[in-house]
Amino acid sequence: MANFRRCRAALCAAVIMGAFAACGQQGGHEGAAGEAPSLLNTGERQAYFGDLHLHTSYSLDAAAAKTNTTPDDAYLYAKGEEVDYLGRMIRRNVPLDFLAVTDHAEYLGNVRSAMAGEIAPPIDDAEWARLIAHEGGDAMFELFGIAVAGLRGVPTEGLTNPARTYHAWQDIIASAERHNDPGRFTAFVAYEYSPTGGASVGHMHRNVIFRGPNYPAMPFAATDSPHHEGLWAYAEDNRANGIDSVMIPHNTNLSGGNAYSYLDTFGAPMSADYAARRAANEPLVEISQIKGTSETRPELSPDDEFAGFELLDSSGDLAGNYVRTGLARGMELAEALGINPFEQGFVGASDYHSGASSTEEDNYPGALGLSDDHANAAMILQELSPVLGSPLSNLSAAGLTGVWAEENTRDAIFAAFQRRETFATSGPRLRVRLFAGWSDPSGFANAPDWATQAYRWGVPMGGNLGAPGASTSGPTFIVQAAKDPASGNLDRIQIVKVWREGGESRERIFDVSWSGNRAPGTNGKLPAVGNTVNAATATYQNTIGAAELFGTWTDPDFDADERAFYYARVIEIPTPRWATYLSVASGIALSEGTSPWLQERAWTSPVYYTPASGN
Amino acid sequence: MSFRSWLREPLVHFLAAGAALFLIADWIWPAPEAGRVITVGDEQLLDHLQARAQLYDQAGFAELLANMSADERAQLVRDAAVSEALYREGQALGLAEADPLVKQRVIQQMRLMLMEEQAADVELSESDVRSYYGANTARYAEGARVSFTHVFLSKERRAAAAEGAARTALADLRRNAVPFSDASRYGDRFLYQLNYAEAATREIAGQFGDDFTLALFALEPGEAWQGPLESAHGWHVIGLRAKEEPRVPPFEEIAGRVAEDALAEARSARAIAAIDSLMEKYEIRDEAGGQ
Repeated sequence: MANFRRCRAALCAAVIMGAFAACGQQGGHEGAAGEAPSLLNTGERQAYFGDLHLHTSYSLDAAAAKTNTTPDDAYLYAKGEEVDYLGRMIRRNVPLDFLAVTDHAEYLGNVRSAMAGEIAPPIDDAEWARLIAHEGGDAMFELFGIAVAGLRGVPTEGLTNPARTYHAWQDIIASAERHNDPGRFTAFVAYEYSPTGGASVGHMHRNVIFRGPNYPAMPFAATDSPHHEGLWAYAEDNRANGIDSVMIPHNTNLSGGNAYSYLDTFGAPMSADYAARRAANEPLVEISQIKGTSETRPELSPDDEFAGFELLDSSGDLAGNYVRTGLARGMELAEALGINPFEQGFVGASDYHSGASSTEEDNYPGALGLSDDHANAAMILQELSPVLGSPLSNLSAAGLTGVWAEENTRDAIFAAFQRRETFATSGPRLRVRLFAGWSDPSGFANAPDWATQAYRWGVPMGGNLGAPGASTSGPTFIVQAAKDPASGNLDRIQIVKVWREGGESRERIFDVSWSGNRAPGTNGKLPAVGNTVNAATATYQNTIGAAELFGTWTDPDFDADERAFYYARVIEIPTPRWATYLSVASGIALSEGTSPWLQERAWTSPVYYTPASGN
Repeated sequence: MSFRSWLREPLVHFLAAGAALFLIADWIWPAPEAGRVITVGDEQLLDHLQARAQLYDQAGFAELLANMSADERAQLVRDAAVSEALYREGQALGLAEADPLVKQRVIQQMRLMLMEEQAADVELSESDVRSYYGANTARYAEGARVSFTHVFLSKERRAAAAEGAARTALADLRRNAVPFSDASRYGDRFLYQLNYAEAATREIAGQFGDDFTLALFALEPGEAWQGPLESAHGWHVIGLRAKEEPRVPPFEEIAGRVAEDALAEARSARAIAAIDSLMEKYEIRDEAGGQ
């Protein structure tokens, strides 16, 4: 009896203390002192690769799919260590340089706890027991229905336990602090804010990435407010207290057209205040991930022969769903408001719900627990996914973020986020640099330290071009791409120009550098690079393409009185997609409509030009 | 602002979970008295009030109880007794046993309590931590790393002349005692980096190839230019700033991290031992004839 009383009191005390800590949220988590600078920081910016969007079993949907990994597992996997995923040991071929674990703030840790029996089930006991006994079949989708209600702002009672959320959040912070290793590996504390409306509102999620080492006591979730203006208020309050963060929207392709709306989330025309807050809080957008790319699509960019890349269906206003048309709309809004709300840089991420950021096509274990377990190759390769309406094999292993930063530390990488010196890839670690300026760069373009000189000459990706000055021609761009040593050679570098002209937005794509002795045809298009993929063996040869591409390009039709932005897109030669490797390993054919190969790619953040008049 | 007001309501939900834990604890350790007598005192009344309200507030309910009228208290005593009687009857019928989910929750809570109790007061001496370090050196091993700059002569640009150009560059760099920091003034543009800081073998091998990596790690750091070494891209004159051999950091350098790992392992070992010692009290019979 005495023993019982002591235990019981201890348990309750632990729970209660959790709640009071959550209430006293002013100070938040106090991190360690600043990071030690690297002695070997040469001052030259280097490319680091990482994932800014990854879920573990602390997320409601990952837990429902029986993903077993924790934030610790996620960081270990990113660092190149072996991790247990669904009973199989998996390991990345090449480790990442940084990672942010971004579990859904809604029901954070609660579904996992309820399934483990640590808290009471949110629904009738017998029904709950039936659902959580699933092995990836129909009951799993029923369980998703309960779990995902948290994202729709109608939370299920019993899964909103703030003590569980608080403990899960503290676990996430502790895990990132443990794995952050300045100079070697950067672990960001982060989470996903995930408001999800009906067909008219779509998917308006943001990943919140903290600079560290100080954090708020609790994440701000869609159950607090489905309006991202509320999230900004949380971030702005925190920033005033020294807790800095950036918010990164993703899957604009699934936003129902609302990602790049003319309105605020209350339906009123966008104000200058909204535009300024959006620009200040959201310097980046995620352009590539497993649930499709958001750059553009053939209906919006009929002259772009590379527009049909890894797409899902979008609903609502199509131009509001895609980044290229969305950023054009930002320029249009800026003409009226004086501030561009959508002046964004680009990042790529996985959005896997496996805890394993496995963006290597030849080393991909699946992304959502039992729903796409590779033990069941026939289901993945041939059955239509109820979520996608096509086989899961049509989704490639995407994507990653590259940053140009002085060293691999939180401060250096976060600063790169803020100045948008980032690029997105569809998964490989292919590197790309872009600079823009107003004079002839040929004097240094071939120098070994050309990039260091280019920072003095112009602005890097993500920057704002200054006034043309005495220049009588358009801006000049220098762009270099280097292949991922573990992936395919490079086909070409293109520059995408989007500009305003007489109250309309226009776009045009220029091939700037390419491999081999190809010449553009009479239609102005460069011929395809070729294809060495052997689908029967899931192999390819680097006998076509180039390891490095380099070029300079000057805009031939520049109007100094109109807004414009420019970004580079780098295309690889065709390589097999993960489904092809799985098909060869399992002996089960790809379904019709699944291409055995893809052309991986990278997108730099745009360089923006605003006329001195500001109109 | 709204954040605080948000916390107010869910706090109630959360406290309900605390109350649920009380109830679970009661399943595990039923009151010692088990016949047809139910004794109700302040302690039982407080538990009952809190469980009924799904709210944990010892002081508040104690005050409420102290200020109750005799009638109210009599009603409460009866309510608590009814709950206890129903609970005992349910126990006798094995209702908890019959519901697999309730049983699962009891098991989970018991396991947590057992483990937390065992882990709570683990303390390790320095010699414990050192012996953990001794047994787990592989875990702390660090791979080789190099920091260097290079002057690159491109095969694509110079074809067969690249090697000769690299040897000439090496001689010039040495003769003029060019510092490593001036490497950028010589040679050709390279597709990856000019400077590498604490780069691991895998990164070097990916960008330069395996043969280059082996040759690079065979060099010793120094102020003189070395090489040239051949890679898939061309020839490289090397300025090797630093090289770290594969090593296991000495205990003193990573004592804090080792202590954390040793404590985590000790806790987990204690928890496993607690389950083992619990199982010593039981005899397991396998109807299929196994042990």
